[in-house]
Amino acid sequence: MFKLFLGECKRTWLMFKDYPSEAIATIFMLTTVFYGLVLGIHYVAGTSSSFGDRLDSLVVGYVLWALVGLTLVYLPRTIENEAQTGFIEQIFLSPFSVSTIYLMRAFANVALNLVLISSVLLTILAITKSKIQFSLSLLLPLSTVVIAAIGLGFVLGALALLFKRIYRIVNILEFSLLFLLTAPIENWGGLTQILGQLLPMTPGMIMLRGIMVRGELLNPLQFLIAVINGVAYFALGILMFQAIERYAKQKGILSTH
Amino acid sequence: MKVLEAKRLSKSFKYKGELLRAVQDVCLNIAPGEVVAFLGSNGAGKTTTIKMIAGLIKPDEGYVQIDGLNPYNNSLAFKKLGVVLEGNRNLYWNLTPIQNMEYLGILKGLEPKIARKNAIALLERFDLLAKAKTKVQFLSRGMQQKVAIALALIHRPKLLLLDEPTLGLDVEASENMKALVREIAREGYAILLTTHQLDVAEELSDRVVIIDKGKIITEQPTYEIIQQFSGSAYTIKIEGELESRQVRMLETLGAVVQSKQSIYIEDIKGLYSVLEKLNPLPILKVEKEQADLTQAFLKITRGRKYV
Repeated sequence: MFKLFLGECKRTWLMFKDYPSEAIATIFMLTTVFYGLVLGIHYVAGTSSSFGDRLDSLVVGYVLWALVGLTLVYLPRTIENEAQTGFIEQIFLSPFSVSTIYLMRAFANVALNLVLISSVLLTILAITKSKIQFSLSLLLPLSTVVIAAIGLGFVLGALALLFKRIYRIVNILEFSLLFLLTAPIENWGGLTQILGQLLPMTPGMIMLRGIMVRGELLNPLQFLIAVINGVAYFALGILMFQAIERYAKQKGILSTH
Repeated sequence: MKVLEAKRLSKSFKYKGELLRAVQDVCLNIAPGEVVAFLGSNGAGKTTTIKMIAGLIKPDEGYVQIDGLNPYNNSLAFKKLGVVLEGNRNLYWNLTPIQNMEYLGILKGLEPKIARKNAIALLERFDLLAKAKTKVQFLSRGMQQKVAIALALIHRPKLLLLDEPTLGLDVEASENMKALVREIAREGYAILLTTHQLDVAEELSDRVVIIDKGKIITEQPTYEIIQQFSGSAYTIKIEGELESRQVRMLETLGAVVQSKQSIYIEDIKGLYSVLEKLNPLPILKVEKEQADLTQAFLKITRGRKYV
């Protein structure tokens, strides 16, 4: 399994390194959109307005949205493309299970995206002079967010296997996530906050904002909730993908575009 | 011993509310070193059968065993199977042949070192080592096809499914490909070949299986099927031209003389009588009327359309 992961890392890197312009364009686009967003808020709120902590929250939310977005769209787009070129059949002809191969691919893709997103974060921090705190404990809630995002990617991947072209659904979902990941659920009260924690990735996001913006320590109970949330969405994605895979084999609809 | 054993495969699909029986009771066996041409018109059920054998479509009934393993309940069966579907759909075009082969080797469960070693050996054997580090998109169509086949052999499978291996190749590349397939078969790989180029199937296959409307209608050794549809007539070609007197004499023996140079005789008995009369005229050629696989295929499938 680990060798498969290394093989996927190598493949991802080989396919990425020949197109440096795409990486630069991604960093430029994400940074510009953020800058546009901040300017827009300034314009609406008035020039004298100050963001304070909220700017730091916005930076964290935005950068995680970018990471989650890239993670989320990876599987459905890969499946769409490989179904068109026909390579998807080779994935289904491997002794490894299809979901294992795509999981290793998703992990390799996350590793690459982390590098890209770190560049975006550093650029945004330089532009906004925002002061965000970094610590190793960030990795724990971050991993719950990433795991849930991979699970949602598998849900979309399953839909791509079934319906072949779902890029419009993916685009809509990607932007609706911006609300999900920047909404201050921790400030909501009572039942709304509990329901908010059931949404994908939100418990991990709450923790990340707490650590990075407000300098809070890792809360074990909140972390447990984040782990349960991440694992639940991950399991949902894998189970749905495997069910659709069986259905596609039964109906003979693999790579029939 | 059989490398491939497919028993009573059946598959139906619902199409516009109606049940379409794509494949019915198909049985297919292949022994090591045997090349079987699996032929059929478009929509005959070829692709569905191939995909059931490859584990890409689950049969409604029947089972598949590749070297004794069923791909639907034992994923190790995929280690015994190499597949090239529709030309070269198993390649990443922006990777080099060696990168493609290393990656697919890992996907097939090989250790990275073994995958690399096998890749180099195959590229050398297929005369592609010089192009090992050229991106696939910059290779000629013939080379891409060779890489696709080399890729399917990276894990040394027992059964190779080749779908249209010479499609879109020029004459030289096509000849190279045929030589390659023969060589692979000699090494003991069992090969299931599907193609619409029946001359290729005739040259390469030991046995022909024809499917029509989802059912196998013929399964015979290639030589026998061609003989079956070949006539018993002979044609003799002579140097120079026959005189009218000679033409009349030959016609009394039942021969038909065409253009005073070519004599058509219906059976072998008549052949020797005509040869005696032609003595001592110089003969250029004596040829038995021989069908080819295309004629045999058309006779078999067209014959069924009117049944």
